[in-house]
Amino acid sequence: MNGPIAVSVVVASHARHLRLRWLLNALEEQTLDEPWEVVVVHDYDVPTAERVLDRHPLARAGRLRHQAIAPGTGSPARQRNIGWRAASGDLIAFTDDDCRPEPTWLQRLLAGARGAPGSVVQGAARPDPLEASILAAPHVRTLTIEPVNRFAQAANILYPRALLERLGGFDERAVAGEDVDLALRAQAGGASIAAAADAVVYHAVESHTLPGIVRQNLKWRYLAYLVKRHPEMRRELPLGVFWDREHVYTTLALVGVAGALARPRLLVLAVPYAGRVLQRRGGGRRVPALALAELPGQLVRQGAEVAGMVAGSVRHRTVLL
Amino acid sequence: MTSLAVALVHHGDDTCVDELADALRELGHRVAVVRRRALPEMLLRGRGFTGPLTHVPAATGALLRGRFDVAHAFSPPDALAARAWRRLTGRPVVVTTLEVLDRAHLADRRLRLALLRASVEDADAVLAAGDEARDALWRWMTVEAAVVDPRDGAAHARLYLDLLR
Repeated sequence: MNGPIAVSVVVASHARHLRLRWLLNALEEQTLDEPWEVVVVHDYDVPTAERVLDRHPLARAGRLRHQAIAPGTGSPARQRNIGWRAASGDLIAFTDDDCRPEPTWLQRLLAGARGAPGSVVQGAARPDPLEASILAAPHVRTLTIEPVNRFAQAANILYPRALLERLGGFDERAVAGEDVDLALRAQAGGASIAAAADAVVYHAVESHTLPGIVRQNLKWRYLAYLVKRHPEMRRELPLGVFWDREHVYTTLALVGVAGALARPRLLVLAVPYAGRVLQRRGGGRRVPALALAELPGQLVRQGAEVAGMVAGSVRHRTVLL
Repeated sequence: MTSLAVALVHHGDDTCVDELADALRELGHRVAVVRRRALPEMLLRGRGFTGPLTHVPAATGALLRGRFDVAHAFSPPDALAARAWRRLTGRPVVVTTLEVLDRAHLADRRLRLALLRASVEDADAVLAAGDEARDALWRWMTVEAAVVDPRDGAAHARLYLDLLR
């Protein structure tokens, strides 16, 4: 298809080459009938890149380009910056390598951009229904986005290239929350965020071991950097210092459990947390027993997350739990 | 031709495995079909796990007792038993993909992707039962597999011997 590129899809990929391949397969089925391209920035070795990318039908069709960076030197922010700067389109759609866009995703995102020129356009993300059985696992990682939300995740968002240039792209000092930071700077500069709720990507549902999920969630300690940079965010945070409600309940529970050694009555502080965990599996005959069995693991996971936030607060000299 | 001791590991009822066993026996090889049945797995299934899984320890034990030269598995859980056997014996594992992979079933349950991936990335040889299965393996797993008719005893025997050289 000839003519200028209507939209460039930029993907940062690391340690997920199979998921990346599946994303490319889903992009191959896009219904958009205007020229578009994909730019992947990754840190895979040459044989992997050759297998996953060079030999993909999108590459053979001239629609896919990729750029390799040295292993271990990447971050989502850096890779996305390399990607959008290498892209040809005036509109840049970001998605993640663990997402599966619906066939109409790009078409609808583009329609959203044309309906709100100059705006950021946020699409929706849902846990992949093909992987819904995995939600039965105790420790699961997935993503839900109902646009417009305050996080403006790069799993499904479109920026005008001119806006990215004006903002200087993603902040590469941000290890986590770089997408939130970009959206906040865009809004501070007068840009609005439009919703394209019908532009849907499905996010992978992955189960993890307890140590695995603890390790993975430690990255959230870097959110303190984000809040320090954007103190106005505190207006939307629970009590101004907690990242989300779960952390409020977890912190209370940890204080209650620790304090109960000296004053048993403090254990009452853990009741709201226990109530939430016991309800997380919904209704059903065996559900309370299951939720009860999962309670210690959930407390360890969320406790580690809060501990990580404490470490981040110390490092960035601002309180965020 | 050298006589080989071959284990065909398969929990299911696909007749092609028995036909391959017959074809290899006709060529003078010692062949055992390691077919261990799984225990009821409702609890595992309720917790989102793929299956069957509970036959794997018994299948691994049967492989270890059998003094085989090669283990040939026909599904990802069977390949788990075969790879455990290889870790202990150092002998080669062949995996044949009988199913035509599709996106809906690549990662639909816990351990499914991990087992599938290990079965095709960690085998000494990967075979596909037909062109469709081979193309799907490439599309979803980027693994190149040779197409060998699962009933072709001579072609399999040649492959086993090559792996043992």
